[in-house]
Amino acid sequence: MLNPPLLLDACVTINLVAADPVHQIARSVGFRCLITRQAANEVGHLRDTTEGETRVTPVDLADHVQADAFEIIDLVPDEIPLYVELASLVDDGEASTIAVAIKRGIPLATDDRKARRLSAERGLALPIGTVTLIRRYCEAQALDHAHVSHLIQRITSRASFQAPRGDSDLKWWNDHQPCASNGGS
Amino acid sequence: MPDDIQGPAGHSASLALRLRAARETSGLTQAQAAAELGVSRPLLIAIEKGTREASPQELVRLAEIYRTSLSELLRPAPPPVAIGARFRAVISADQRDTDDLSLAVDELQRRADDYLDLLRISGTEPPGRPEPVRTFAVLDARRAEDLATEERNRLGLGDGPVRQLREVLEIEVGLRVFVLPLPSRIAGLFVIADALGGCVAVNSHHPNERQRWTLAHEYAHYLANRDRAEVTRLSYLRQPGSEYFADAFAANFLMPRSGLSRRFHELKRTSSDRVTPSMLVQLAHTYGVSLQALSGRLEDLGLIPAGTWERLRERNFQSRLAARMLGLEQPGQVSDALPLHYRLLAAQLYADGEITETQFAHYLHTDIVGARRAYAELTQTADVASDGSPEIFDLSEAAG
Repeated sequence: MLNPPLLLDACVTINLVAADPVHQIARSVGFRCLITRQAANEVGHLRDTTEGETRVTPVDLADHVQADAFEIIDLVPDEIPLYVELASLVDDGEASTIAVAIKRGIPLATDDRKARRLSAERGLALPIGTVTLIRRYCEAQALDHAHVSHLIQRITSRASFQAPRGDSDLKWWNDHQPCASNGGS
Repeated sequence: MPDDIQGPAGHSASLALRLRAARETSGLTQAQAAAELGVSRPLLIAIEKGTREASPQELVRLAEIYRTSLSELLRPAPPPVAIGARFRAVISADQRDTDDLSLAVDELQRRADDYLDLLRISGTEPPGRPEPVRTFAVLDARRAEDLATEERNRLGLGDGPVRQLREVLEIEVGLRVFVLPLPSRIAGLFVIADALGGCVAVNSHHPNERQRWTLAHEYAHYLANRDRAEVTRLSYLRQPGSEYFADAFAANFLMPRSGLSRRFHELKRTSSDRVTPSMLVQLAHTYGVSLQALSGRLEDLGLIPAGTWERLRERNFQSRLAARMLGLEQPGQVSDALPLHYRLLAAQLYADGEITETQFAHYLHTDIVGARRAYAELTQTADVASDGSPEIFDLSEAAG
C-alpha cells in the first residue's frame, strides 16, 4: 500500500538531503515525500568542509526524485489563487506548500516559525519538523547512538541546521549531539 | 507586522508598477511580454497601468516570464524606480560601459527595494541623522577641508584615523552602503532614494583602501550635491569640479591635516629624521588608504617633496609586499555586500518569525544554508542596534 503523502518545504528538504542517504530516510518515515516545484527551486546548496576548506555542493533533486526519495509536484489551477494570496505573506516555496497542504489536505513538514504560524492560522494540523522526521528514521532503523550522532553531525555541518528551541523532540536531538556521545555538555 | 491577508486587488497600484519594473529589468518589450503571456499588448499595458487587474494565473505566469519571485511582485509598496531614473541621464552621457553600469544600477535598485521592504515589515526607520545639504558658491579644496573638519567634529572623530569608516557612515551619517560588482573603471555610485536616504554602491572588485576612498568621496556628494546621481569613475581625464571637491574632501576626511602631520613628524623623529618608504607604508596602513593617496596628501601638505609617489612608482616599489613584510594586515571592513543595519534587521525579523528562512536568504542574496551560516555569524557577535548603540543580540528564540 502507498504511504500517505507529506509535503516538505525547502528547509526540511535540504536537511534531509544533508543527512544522506535521503531515499532511505524518506522510505523509513512512513510518508511519500512531496515537494512543490516552487519549494524545490529554493533548496539551494549544501556546504561540505574538507581539511578546513568549505565547498559549495549543489543539490540535484532530480537524482533524489529518480531514487524515489521525493516527488516534485505542480500546483493545479484550483490552487493558484490561494498560492498567490499566501505569496504576499511568505516566500513562493512556503506559499505553494501551504496552499497545496490546505487544498489537498496533506500534512506539512516545516521548521519555519512564520510558516508554522501561518499554517496554524489557516487551520492546518501542527506541522512535523526535521528533528521528528530524523528521530522516526533512526528509531525505525534502530540506529545506535554513534550512527545517530553521525547523522545529526551531517545535518548540522552540511546544512547548518539548528534545531528549533520549541521542538518537541529537541531533547532527543541534543542527547544525540556528537559532543553528548563524548560525554560533553 | 500586520498579517492581514491582502490579495493583489488590495494594492493594485503597487503591483502595476512592480509588474512594469520587472518587465523592464527582464529586458522584454510590452509586445514580447504580452506574446509570452498570451494576451494582447493593450491588455498588458492595461495591467501595467493598473486599469485591469491581473488574474492569479497571469501573475504566476508573469513572475515566470520575468524570472522573479511572485512574493517580490506582491510587495505592497511600489519599487524605488526613481533610482534608475536618476542614473539614466548620467549613464547616457557616456556610452562606454553603459550596459554593465545599467546592470549595476538595477542591482542597486533591487538592494534598495529589499531594504525598504525590511523597514516596512519591521515598522522602523533606517539609522542615521540626516544632515541638510550644504551649498557652496565654489567647490574648491579649501571648502572641502572646512567641510571635512566640520563633519569630523560633528561625528566626534577628532583628528585620528577612521578605522570603522563604513560603520560611521552607515550608523551615524545614515548612508546605505552596498558593495556591488561594478565595471572595473567605476569606483562607486551615489544616489538619493527618497525613503532610504543616501545610497552608495562601492566596487567589490577594488582593494579595500580604494573602497574606503570611494566611500569618503561619495560622502562628499551626499553632503554637497546630493540632488543628482553620481557615477565615480577612475579617470585621468578632465573631471568636473564636483569630483575634485569630493576627492579633496576624501583626502581631508580620511587624513586630516593636524593628525597626519603629527603622526608623520613622530615617525620621522623615530627614523633619524629620514622619510623612508616603509614609514609611508606604515602611515598608509594606519589611515587605511593607498600609498598613492597618502603620498599625494603628504605632498599637498608639503611634508614630502612633490613627485615622491612618481619616484616610488618608477622604482617599482611594491607597497603591498612591503606592508606584508612589515606585518601590516589589510583593512577588511568594506567587504560585506549589504549594510550592517540591513543584515541585522533581516536577522531580527527572521528571529522574531516575521519572515521565513527563505525570505531571509533572499534578503541576504544567498541560499538557505548560506542564510543559516550568516545568521549564526550575525547573532554570535556584539553588534549595533537600529539606533546605533552597541548591542549584543539575544536571538535565543530563533527558529531553526
